[in-house]
Amino acid sequence: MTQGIDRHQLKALLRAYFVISTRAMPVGITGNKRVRTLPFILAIYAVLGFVLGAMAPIVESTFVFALFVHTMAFFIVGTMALNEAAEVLFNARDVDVFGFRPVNGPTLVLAKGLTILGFCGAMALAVNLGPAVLGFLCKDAHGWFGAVHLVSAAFETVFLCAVAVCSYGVIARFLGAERFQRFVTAAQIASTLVLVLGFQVLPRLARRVDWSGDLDSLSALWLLPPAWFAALDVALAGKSATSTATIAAAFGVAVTIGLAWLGVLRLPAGFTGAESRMGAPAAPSSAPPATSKSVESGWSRWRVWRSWMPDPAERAVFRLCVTYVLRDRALKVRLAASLAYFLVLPILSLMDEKSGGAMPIVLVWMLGVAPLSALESVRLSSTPEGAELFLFTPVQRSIALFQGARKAVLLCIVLPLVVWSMGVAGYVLRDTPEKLLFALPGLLMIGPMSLVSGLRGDFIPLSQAVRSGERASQVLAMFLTMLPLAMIGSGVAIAVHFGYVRTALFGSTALALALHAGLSALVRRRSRAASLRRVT
Amino acid sequence: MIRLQKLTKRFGTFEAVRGIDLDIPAGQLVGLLGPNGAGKSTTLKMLTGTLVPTSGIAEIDGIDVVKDPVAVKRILGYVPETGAVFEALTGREYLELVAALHGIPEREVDERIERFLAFFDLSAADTRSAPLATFSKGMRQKIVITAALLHNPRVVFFDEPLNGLDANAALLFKTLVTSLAKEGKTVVWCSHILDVVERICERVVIIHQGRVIEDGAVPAILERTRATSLEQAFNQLTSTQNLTQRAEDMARSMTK
Repeated sequence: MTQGIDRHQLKALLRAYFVISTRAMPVGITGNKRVRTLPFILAIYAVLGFVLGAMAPIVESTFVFALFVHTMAFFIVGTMALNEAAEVLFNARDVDVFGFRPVNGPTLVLAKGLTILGFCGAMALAVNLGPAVLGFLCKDAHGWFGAVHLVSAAFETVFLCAVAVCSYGVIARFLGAERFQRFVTAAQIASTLVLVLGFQVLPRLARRVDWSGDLDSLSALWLLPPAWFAALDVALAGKSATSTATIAAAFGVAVTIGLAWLGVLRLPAGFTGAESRMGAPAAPSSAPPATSKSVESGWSRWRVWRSWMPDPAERAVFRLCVTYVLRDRALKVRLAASLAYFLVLPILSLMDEKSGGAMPIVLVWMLGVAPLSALESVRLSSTPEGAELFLFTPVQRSIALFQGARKAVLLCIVLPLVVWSMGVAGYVLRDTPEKLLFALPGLLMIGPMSLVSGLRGDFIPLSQAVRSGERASQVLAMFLTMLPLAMIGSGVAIAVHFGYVRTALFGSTALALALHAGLSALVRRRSRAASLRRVT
Repeated sequence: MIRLQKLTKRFGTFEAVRGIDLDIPAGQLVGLLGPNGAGKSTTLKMLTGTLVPTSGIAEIDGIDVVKDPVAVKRILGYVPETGAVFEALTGREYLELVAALHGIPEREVDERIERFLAFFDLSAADTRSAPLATFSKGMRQKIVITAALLHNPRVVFFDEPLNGLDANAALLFKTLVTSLAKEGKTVVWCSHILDVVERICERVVIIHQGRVIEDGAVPAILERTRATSLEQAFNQLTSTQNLTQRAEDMARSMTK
């Protein structure tokens, strides 16, 4: 087998990956609903890009504008590159398809790398289109800024994809089979948290910099990759390019090319081994997993537990979801990505002195969105066929499946988040603990908000196929869920401002309880009396 | 036990199942055959309550699968062709999930699972500790079959049940199925392995292009078609081409 790139194979692989990632497919086991999420997500990011671009005339310089845009794109595209790379590079099912075919390592990795690049490139284009169109409005930008910015954005995207591919390549090459999966999961979760944290921390740090001063002297700035690509914008399309910026731009281009070469030609051997490790049977451990034991036999004997979930099907689904949350690599990563903000933002409230203690309370209110986000992650699976079980077993009503999943999410995911957020809020408000009372209606809103997923037809856990960009499409649903929370929260804030503290607290608490009762009834009504089935 | 009357399923303009009439009494082991795309799996999905028929009647033990699918699902077991399971669960966890969905009393679950694991020579330690993702195809199929029989169903549908089973396990399983039929269970065996169907099924139903084109005992079918084997009869009934000639032509064209 030759270790060069086989162009025919590469073309065929790219065509296959393109079709797989873009074709509208049935999304789950019930119904023939087909989705094309990508155009919708691209539209959202394009709007965001134009909002960024509209800032061109008001920022200090072309470099500051380009840095701002490249930093935003860095975190958005970087998060996607890391998650897409893990899904595409370590797809265990590929072993079944390609494992016995004469495809050499570099060709397969290049095809996968280009697939990741294609997806991330589309995202990067959407985010950078607005700044490219409006960037010439910067004070010291040439008319061709747009063209140059698209080139620098392309370099940044290649850089991010190459970093993702190389990082996973190194992990794959140097870790043994047993630690490999755990490490990939931990690396994905950690990188997601770091990216979310960076996305929040950098703007706060940016406020402390005098952007109208001499930026060349800010040596720490040039360590950040977005600065290299912003420097490329300035070097080629700015009227005041410095030698430092030109060197940084050249460095960025060189690093990008170097990483791309390393990822495609030097590390593929690690991937092909890793792929089969992901798919290969692992040696069964002699002892049963501790988590499953506690879920199986411990809780199920408690009377409180049984009265909370009287339906055996509900209890079974609860156990299934808890097991998946604790054990399934893909679900853990999806949950980390969708809930990272709830972990990271409380840390930032420690740094936020200007809000007068309001921020931790607002964050507790925002937890109302967490159940929806987690439940939508639990709905997805890379093997949705497994959920067909629910179609041919005598499950009376789909509400049992929804309630089991909902209670698993509330207990295993939302409760720790509540403890974390309330802990931070308690620390921030240690001098004025009475303010913690305003978190109470927010906590009560978690119950009704957790019922929202049940309004979207039959909820069957692990029944929908994972599609590219699925996570990003959930953003809209989260925003829509946040609206009533924001409205009630604003009402409370206004009432408190005018001195109606008790009215605000009692009113919002009553409203939360009424919403809970109303939504519960609605979910029950929507759940079919008949059993679950395909609706084709 | 199973009664189909003018059962039809349309997907848009495509008619996958075209008015099938069929009666299967209790205790009968029936082979359901047909070429790819004939409508076998669609029929099974309608019978298992996972797909709603466009028209017609499907009853199991007198219960209409459309009107009361839950009641039907209580008395049937199903081994789907995909053999899909929740791969992150261990074998035992998966079976406990199935037991809970079928409402098997918790005190009986362990004993029933142990009995099946022992029958299939599955190690109790492996099924407790290893997720199904790490199981071989055959081991996974044993779990899927166990899941279908765990609640002691009166009617069982097997869609390619021998997938992945080794020769010993397959022999064991075939013997179990024939014994179950003798005990009064109704078994529908859907497969493309015709010699197995010929040996174990007392009655064979052949579906082609959504219609039943043959129904009867194997000797009767062989007599009607003047074939020497079920495979030959199947070929005569479902294909207009001489398959042997076609294969030989193909082989010749490849060596040119």
